[in-house]
Parts: sequence; structure tokens; C-alpha cells
Amino acid sequence: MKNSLRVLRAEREWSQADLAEHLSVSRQTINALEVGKYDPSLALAFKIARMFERSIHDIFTDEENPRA
Amino acid sequence: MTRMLYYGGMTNTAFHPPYRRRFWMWMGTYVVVLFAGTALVGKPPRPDAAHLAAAIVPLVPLFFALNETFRAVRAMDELQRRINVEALLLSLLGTIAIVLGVGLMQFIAGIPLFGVFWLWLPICGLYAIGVFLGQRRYS
Repeated sequence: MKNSLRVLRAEREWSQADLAEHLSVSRQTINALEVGKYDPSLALAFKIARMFERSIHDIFTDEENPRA
Repeated sequence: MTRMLYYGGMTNTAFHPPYRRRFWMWMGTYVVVLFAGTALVGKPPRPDAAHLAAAIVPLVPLFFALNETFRAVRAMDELQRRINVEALLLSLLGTIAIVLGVGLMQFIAGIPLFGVFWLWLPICGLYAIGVFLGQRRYS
């Protein structure tokens, strides 16, 4: 699963640590999400979407079905 | 501020500092109580009340140490919890393999068994290896 987390974070000029603090997760989790090593749970994906005021589809893309 | 200390990058370790500190405090108490108890009752081992108490009483601080582990796991985010669950799985399966291997060595080759006491070694060792590998995989 691809995501635009790094871009959205850069738009707000946040460090990984800043975003980690806002989401109450570790910085390692943010890094793993950004480099695509870890796919978030639905709960965390919704939390990220709420934070950036976007829909989940705007942030996360299914690589096997990009139009979904 | 507290949240930042826990999650904002000061630590990526499995145990956040307050839990780790309390865990080691209880483990230290466990060791002190264990050695004090065994020193009080002395040798040789006997199945009387004093010796049984010396063996069982140290489990009280050990219980509190293990409770800190549960609290630390509950405070982790989902990735850290996944890393720890995978490490526990490695620890469980690895220990099963070791126990089976050693058991077969006893039954087939007649090699003397290790005591159950030493089981903590593969359990904790494999868990530590699992956490290390998990941290590397997701960093």
C-alpha cells in the first residue's frame, strides 16, 4: 500500500517526531509507514485521515488496484 | 510533554522508560529476596515450609515485574506491539523446538536433561533476538 504521508507531512513542515506526537505513535512507526514497510490498522489510517482533513483514499493507495 | 517523551522520538525501544525503570526495580527486589531467602534457609534442599517459602516468596516481586511488562505492552503503539508479538512467537516456537530437541536427546541418546529452571534462558534470549530483528525490519 502506497501513501502520501511524507508529502502531507512536508506541507505542514512537520518532522517525523512532530507527526508521531500528534498521532501518539513512535517515530519509528511514522518512518515505517512513510517508506512502506508497514501498513497501518484501519483505526490509525482513519486517525491520519482526520488529522490531515483528507479521506483515506486521498492518502492511501492500493498498489494492486490503484483506482480503488 | 509526557506523550512526546513516550512517542515523539526520544525512544523507539519496546519498553518506555517509566515501565523499564519499575521493571528493573522489581527484578532487583526479586534477586535480593531470592538470595536473602536461600541464604536464610541454607543447604541442603529440603521440602519443608521454610525452604518452600524461600522458593515461592521471590515470586511476589517477580509478579510485579511481569505486570510492568504487561503495562508496557499496553502502552505501545500498534507497530511496537506487532514487533513484540512476533518476538514472543519466535520465543515460543524456538523454545518448543529446543525442548523437543533436548527431550529427544535424552530419550534417544541418553544425554542428561537440563533443568526446567534454565528454560528462562532460551525464552528471554529468543525474545530479545526477535525484538532486535523486528526493530531492524521496520526501521
